[in-house]
Amino acid sequence: MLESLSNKLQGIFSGMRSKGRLTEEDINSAMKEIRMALLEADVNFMVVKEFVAKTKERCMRAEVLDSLNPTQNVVKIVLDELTELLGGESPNFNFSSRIPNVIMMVGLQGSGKTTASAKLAYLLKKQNHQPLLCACDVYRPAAIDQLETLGNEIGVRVYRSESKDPVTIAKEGIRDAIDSMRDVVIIDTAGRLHVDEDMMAEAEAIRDAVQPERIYMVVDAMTGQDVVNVAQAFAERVDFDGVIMSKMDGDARGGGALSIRQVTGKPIMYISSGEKPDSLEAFHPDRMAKRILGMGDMVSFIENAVASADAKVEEDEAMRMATGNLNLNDFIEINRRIHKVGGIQKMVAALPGGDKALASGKLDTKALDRMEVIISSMTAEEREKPELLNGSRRLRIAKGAGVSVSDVNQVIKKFNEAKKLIKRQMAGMNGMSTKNKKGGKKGKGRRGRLNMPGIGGMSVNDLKNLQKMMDE
Amino acid sequence: MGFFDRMKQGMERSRTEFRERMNLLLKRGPEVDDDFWDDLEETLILSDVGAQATLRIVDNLREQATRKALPDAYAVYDMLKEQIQDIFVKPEVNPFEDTPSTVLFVGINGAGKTTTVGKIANEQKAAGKKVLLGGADTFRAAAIEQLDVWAQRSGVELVTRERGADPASVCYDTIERAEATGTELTLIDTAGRLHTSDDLMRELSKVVRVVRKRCKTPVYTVLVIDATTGQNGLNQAQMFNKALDLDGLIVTKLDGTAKGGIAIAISHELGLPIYKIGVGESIEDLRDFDAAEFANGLIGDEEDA
Repeated sequence: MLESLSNKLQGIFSGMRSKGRLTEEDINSAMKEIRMALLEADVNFMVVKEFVAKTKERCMRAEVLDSLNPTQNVVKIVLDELTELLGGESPNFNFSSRIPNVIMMVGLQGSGKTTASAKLAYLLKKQNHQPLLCACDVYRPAAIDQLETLGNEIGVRVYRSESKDPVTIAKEGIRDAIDSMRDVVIIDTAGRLHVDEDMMAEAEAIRDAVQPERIYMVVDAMTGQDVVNVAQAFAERVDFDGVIMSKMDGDARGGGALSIRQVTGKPIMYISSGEKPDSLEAFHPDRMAKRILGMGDMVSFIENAVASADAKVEEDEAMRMATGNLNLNDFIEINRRIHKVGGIQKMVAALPGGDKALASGKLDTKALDRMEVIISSMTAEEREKPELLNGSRRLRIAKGAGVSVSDVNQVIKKFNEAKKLIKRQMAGMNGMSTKNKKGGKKGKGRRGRLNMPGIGGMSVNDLKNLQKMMDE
Repeated sequence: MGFFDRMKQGMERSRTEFRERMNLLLKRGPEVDDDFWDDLEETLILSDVGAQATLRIVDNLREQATRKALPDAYAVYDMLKEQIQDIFVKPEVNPFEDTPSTVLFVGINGAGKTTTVGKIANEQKAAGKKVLLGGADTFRAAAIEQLDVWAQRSGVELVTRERGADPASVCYDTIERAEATGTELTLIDTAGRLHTSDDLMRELSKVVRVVRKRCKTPVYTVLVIDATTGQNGLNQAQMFNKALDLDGLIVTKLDGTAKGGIAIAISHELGLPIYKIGVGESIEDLRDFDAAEFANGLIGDEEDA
């Protein structure tokens, strides 16, 4: 895993503080690291060159060089500049008065057009539009079936035709939308290479025939340096209006996004992550900038965690928590939820400095799984009433899970501590006086030994360390 | 258009732009100065070789050029090409020709797994082999239908189940059918998944485990990777390798302007051979990997200058 940029800069600037002032040479080595970080994030070479030159100029100003914490200042400047390059808030899509409005999707093969088309339809449907999906990919086998299946799943009408000519199909699709009272048509076109003259001409022909209000280019977040050539060619030929970044649920830093914006001037409109229809979101430049720099994206992570939580389960859990009646099933549920959003590893990586903590191997990422194995070896009754667990039961569970009795004891101990902690917090919420008293005790007396529920193997000290890294 | 013309055309396209860039270098003459090294660095980075790997390569070249007193830029190019070729591991076996064998295709979404399976089925069927396809991508909408079209195009049998079925059981069925029909080459398509999705990676490692356990033939697990992929490609390869213990790679979409420089980093880090490359959407747009040709594609060819 890449060491995050701020850690690297920290290394460069540490020891220089005693000098009281940074030299041009110091800034140069910092810029070298920034250049490296951007290139490793797939930001285009030319864009990096320009960016570094501009950022250096800003960093060379006296207020940065003389400041007490130059690292923070340099990082802040880089972040600001990146955010600015990525553009302000995404422009709104204003529908024209034409019925239906037409949105055309273009992009390379495998960039995720068909999936993005369905997601966009789903989003529009939620905004009270009546979209129609029009299947114009006549080349890839079963592409039309794919769109039809996705359309059925989200309850959006899909137009398909016997015709083999995408221009004809697109025109028929619009007619079908008028007949079936739809107000938006999303045209899913075939993937095409920007150097394929015939296919690019075809895309132009579709555009000219249907006069779309919007053309979106779908770009894979993992694309490398070549994305600039591709985007430029598409901008010249079909003149798209905005970009949808796909596969953002991976760990690609998505530097290509920045490059496209810089080279073509086209804004990024949405980011698409995952296979679920509701995973198309508005683009946030500040979050993207942080991601490119490897600074963690806690906001997105939390959003993700919230989105994947099951409302019903959560409600039950909240009820039990409120009454301080946590049971071992809740423990498993918390573990599963952490898995769902990518595991403890991803969660920690999303924290600023988390990369470093993971790389140093200080974190036991498997602790939760071991705990789940042990709990799985208990009977349903035992899970709900952990107080039943006597010596012979514990021995049986240890045998069943293939661990020692002391491992089982450890889990039960952790569980009891978590239960106490939650009870205390709940009590604190009910009355201020109790909270203050107990809170103080927690802070002083037991620091370092208490394990939070659901963050197995991670002590309060670990969290504190993370916090420290965040502050630096 | 003949088979070779088509392949050549695919590679041509991918090389033209890069060659132009190299030609700019060549046009500045044979002189080796600081600008030359800067330009070389730029060229390699723009090919997705990666910034760190590029710096390593260029520093090393620079040192050797001085030590060996290389006469001009052309000699540097030749040495670079040799070095790039040396990075690539030669495959000990060809899993598609040295049959009987069973090959699993894995990779992220949209890398080109299904298309590659279709092309290889066609190639080996034409070479006289008895080929069977297994459609274990029971997740993506219409993936089975897509593979079915490829099966029909090349006239081979497809074993699959309905969408949503357990992929491991599809593999099991496929292997049974392969044994019953005396199949020489079994190709299994799996669902695309991001290497960061723990659940899906676990599912896949179960599939691979089932196949390795059940199969009497050698089993190969091949990662399909898109040539347009940037530095994240290395993460992909590392994670897939960790979960599945890969045997080799296939690089697709080399018919664009992307150079697939990330393949160098992957080969270097993981020591995996590249079995095939994909150069287009048609059934015959597939060829064997040739390290010399790949290096030429990346660096440019003096003869073309």
